[in-house]
Amino acid sequence: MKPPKSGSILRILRYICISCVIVLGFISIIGSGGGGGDDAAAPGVVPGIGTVPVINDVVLTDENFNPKAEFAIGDTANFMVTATDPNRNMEELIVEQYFPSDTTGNPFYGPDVLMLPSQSKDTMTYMLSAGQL
Amino acid sequence: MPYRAAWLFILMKRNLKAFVCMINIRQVLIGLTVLLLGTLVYLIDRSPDQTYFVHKSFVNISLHNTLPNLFGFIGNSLPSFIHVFSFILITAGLLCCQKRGYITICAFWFLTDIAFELGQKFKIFSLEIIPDWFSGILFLENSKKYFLLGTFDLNDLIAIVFGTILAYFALSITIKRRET
Repeated sequence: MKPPKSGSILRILRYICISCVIVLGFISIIGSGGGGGDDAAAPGVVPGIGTVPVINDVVLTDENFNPKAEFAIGDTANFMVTATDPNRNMEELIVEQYFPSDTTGNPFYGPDVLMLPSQSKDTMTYMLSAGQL
Repeated sequence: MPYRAAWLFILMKRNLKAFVCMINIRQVLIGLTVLLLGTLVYLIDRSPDQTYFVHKSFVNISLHNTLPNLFGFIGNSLPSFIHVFSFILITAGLLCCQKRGYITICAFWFLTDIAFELGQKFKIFSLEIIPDWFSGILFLENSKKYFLLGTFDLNDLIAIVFGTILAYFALSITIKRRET
């Protein structure tokens, strides 16, 4: 058996290098984006339906949309909801109201549905008025 | 023993020389240099949480908030340009082919990059074709997140087109003519 010629070894080496470059090219695309952040931040996917929206933040505000934690009887409460849906098809928000002191878990109001304006970005902040309920 | 080592060294040196003759070293070096420049976007301009490679690295290699932003708004689409440009040059340099081969290589990387960008627009389709076993493999585990959390941008598509054209131009200038 003859030993392989130096030229053929080099040719094999070249093809190995090219294969590595192609694999690296694909990996570099996948690894360059998407973020490596918290796994919980990635919305789930339901086959045939799309991405499941994730509510990132809810802030209670006064009627001028300034954050406020405590309300007296008769005060108007609005709220801001930040939610992510890469599928961009969030349409409605289901709202329930609870008394903080209530331990029964029963809402004193709701569930009610708020229609959301059309989604123009993956993550949206909705400023919602209590008057919409 | 020293003779054997010297002989091996000469053989390796000769093979390396022959290997360098088989490739277009200029194209490979240009590709690698530009690729290195592209990594600066991820290290300096982008938050480490946005990039799988930076986030997963064992040591903190991110210079985000340590150095001022280098690329400004160009940094948004620069990686798309750099990826297609540098990988065309590296592949073509290793294959050391002629103009017809260059067109094939340009088309291959152009279509690859366009497919990944469009995959971010049609997220659901992309997510459905990614097999579940990818989630257990290093690097591939990020593929779902790449499509799910990545943003489709028309400027990225333009950058890919521009990168491909410029890469073909660069290949044409640095072509290694075959001796007849």
